[in-house]
Amino acid sequence: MASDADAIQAVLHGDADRYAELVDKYQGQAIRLAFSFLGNYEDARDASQDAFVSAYRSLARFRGGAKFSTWLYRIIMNACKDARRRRSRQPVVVATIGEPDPDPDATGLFVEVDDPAAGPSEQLANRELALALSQAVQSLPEHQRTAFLLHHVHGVSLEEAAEVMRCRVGTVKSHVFRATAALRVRLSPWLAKEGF
Amino acid sequence: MDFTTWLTTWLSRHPLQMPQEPDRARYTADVMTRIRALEPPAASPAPIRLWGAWPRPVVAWASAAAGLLVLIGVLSVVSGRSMRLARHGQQLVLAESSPSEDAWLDETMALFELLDEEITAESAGESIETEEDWLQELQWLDEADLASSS
Repeated sequence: MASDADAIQAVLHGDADRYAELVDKYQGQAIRLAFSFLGNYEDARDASQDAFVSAYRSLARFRGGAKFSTWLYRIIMNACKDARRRRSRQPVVVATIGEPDPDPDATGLFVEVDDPAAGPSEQLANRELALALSQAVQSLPEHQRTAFLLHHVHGVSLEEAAEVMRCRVGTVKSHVFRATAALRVRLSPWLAKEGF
Repeated sequence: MDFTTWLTTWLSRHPLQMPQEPDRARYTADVMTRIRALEPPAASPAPIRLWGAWPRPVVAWASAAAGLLVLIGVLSVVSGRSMRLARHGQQLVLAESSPSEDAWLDETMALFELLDEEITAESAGESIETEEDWLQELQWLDEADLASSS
């Protein structure tokens, strides 16, 4: 399989179809990253596609010193910010008469893992914890949320997260630390059951 | 187990929720449809740098300006210390000062010799009768000049 650099050079020399290789290779990561920021699959799909188009437009400015994925992550983050901004300008439906409440089985960002050994009350508690953690993550300040998601959810190293966020590694560490501390406070009702 | 360890363990067991089978081919096709409608991103030639990557122009200009200021300061101190006005009769002569008074007198005399001037009572004025008196007068004038300038 050709490297990212080969595909990029081919695109820059007029072979636009080679860009499909990059889209195919990175679309999974792109959608996951956008989903973790936006909390909605449709929005994540649109934002990540916008990011791929923006990356294509700016491909001549991509420097080979960084990984393409790192560069793409940053563009995805910007696309997500735009999507959130657009969404915040739209009117929010708080409640609609005659319609049921939002999905009571929703678990937010994270997959609920069924534990056969857990009883019904324990499963309910797990579901509530997953939802509470999703809401707590989404309510973090932007920099803290970005650093936390990149590092703890997407497994991006602190150094790469610093490149994506264009700040120092120490700053990323500080954001992750503060985010973790804030989540601990937000999750304290559930953490008591876990022995914290 | 601390909270961070518990949290990372929990996150590893609860990955992000995603649709079961996203249509990858459809996703790529959608992106490529939009891309084919765009102008191709031409490979840009390497930018021509009129200035090296380092030092940056702002830093270089700031350093040059600071150096120039230091040079001006040093020159002004040197010129202020070494040059003073000496009086010879009705003439004012720019003379270089010396750290010691004896050396200053010697240099002043040497300057007069260089100018081929003879120090006489007439040229020095009526009140000055001897060379020694004239030199004292010259020294007094010089001290008065320094006092007024400081």
